[in-house]
Amino acid sequence: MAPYGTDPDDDTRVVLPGGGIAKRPMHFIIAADGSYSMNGEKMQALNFAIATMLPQLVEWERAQENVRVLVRAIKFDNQATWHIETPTPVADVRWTPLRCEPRALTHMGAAMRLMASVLTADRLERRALRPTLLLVTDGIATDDFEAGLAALLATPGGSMAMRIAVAIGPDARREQLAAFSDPGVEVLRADRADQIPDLLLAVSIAVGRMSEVRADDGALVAGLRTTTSERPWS
Amino acid sequence: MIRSQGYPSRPAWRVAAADATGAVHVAKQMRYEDAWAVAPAYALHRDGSPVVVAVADGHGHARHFRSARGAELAVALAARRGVVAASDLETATDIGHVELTLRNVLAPAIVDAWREDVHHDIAERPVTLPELAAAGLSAAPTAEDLLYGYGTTLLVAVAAGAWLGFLQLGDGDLIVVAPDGSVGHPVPYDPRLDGLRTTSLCQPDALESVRFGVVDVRAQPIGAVLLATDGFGNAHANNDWESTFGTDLANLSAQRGVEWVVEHLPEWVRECASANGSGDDATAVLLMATGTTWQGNHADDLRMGSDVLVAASEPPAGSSGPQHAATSSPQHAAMTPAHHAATTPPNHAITPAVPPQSAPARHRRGP
Repeated sequence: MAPYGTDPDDDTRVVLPGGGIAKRPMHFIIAADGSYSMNGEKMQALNFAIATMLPQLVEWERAQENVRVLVRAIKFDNQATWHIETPTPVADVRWTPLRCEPRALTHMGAAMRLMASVLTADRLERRALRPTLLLVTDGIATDDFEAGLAALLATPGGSMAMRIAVAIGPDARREQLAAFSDPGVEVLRADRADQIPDLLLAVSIAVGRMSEVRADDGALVAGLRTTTSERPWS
Repeated sequence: MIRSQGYPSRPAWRVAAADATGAVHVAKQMRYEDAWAVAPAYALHRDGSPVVVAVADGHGHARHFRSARGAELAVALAARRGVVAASDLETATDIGHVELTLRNVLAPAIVDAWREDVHHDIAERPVTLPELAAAGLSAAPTAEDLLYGYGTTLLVAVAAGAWLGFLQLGDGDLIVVAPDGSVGHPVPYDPRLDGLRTTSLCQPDALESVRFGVVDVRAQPIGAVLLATDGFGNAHANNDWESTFGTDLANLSAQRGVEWVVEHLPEWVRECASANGSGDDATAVLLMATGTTWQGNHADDLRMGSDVLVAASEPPAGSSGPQHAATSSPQHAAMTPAHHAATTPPNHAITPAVPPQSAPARHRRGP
């Protein structure tokens, strides 16, 4: 990230010791289920939902005084791979639709570990705002989810992150998603594929509320409840 | 750090202080919640020793509904008590005595007096129902709730004789810069400071959370000391900005002079608080040792010309921030330990014998 005012022809600059200043980064990492059970309507809805959510985040970022939202994305099926590996300014993200492979499984634990790999003390900027981790799945992890989650929560960025889980359909395992979710934030559930866009829109609004000065997690939870028609698991 | 030829064994210090309301605070129509103080006040205009400086950052979370006032109280009393301690440190001959004075006298005095000042403040200006409601408290708050409302960090530096004594509670940056530009962190790192939470004067075990540091400038010459709230450090793009800051400060001091540095500190702080930087309230106090032979070099100045410049054409924080509804800022909340092992330090009955001309320069701002 180039510091401001690096144009040597700009004579309106002032000298600032310390290597230059910049807005504070806020990392937003999406972990999306690419297992075969997502094939068809669910995956189409998810791709549409993410593509709809990103402009909302762009709008929110533009309204801020000090934030630069940086997006990464992970697809997990028989393994976890980066769909967007480089932290990309949200305004620059052009969402490439995810696709499901035949017979692909749900290695959600691997996705946790991949997220953990970029949230360690040496990878996350000291000045970074609280990261947001969004997990979207319709199934049950087919690998060692608990170990992956433990690895994620062992990182400074993973433990401090706002972690939001979205369950699609009735087959997602509540216990796993609740364990991933931030304490006090209910797992969001879409019973039908057409509810996914509304849920992710609510997530993007909640991310903004989360970062408001003098707001707290209570405001986030309230935001999620009032903005969506989802029924949190009891 | 290297021994610097000609460095005075008992340096005098010139102090520069600057503050700026964060762009986020401006947009949200929130007041400046940092505070700073310098004692004696004349150190802002001419060299002197001993000198005491204090910087505080009132917590931004809604629960800390009077944190700006808590920060003001903290820096004022830290400066007053620090001057008393400094008169003792001036003649100290061993580092152990300095450390004990900071740990057993100054820190307990500050923590105790701050709590007393908060209670007096509440008595003089009772907490209102709207304040309690905004903080999410009931109409019958506990004494702890009220103390919590004033939560703030505190960084203090005492420059006396050959000694630099430091104490820090909570986040913020406290660094020393040697004449060659190398940087040291005199106060130990606290792993509990995760960027979201901070230790605080309002917590029951505040005294146990204070961190200390002492530097003997005869053995380790120090050209400058920086105390800053996190709105200053969080503006810098590099993780290791302190090292670059030290190198740049040495170069600027060598090539443009200490007066130039002192004059430009407000500009730097404004940039840090702006929407181009942290957007948070930023406060920085620099102590510059007079008689320092700064060891800058021209090569680094050229590097600076392409690497360490910011646009001055950006509106300064507080001037014209758009009135946006939603903003982003770390939500600092004081740590609330599960145990309440409150320490009752001995009453050292320190009388702040501060003569009128030595009254601390204290920063106050209205909402």
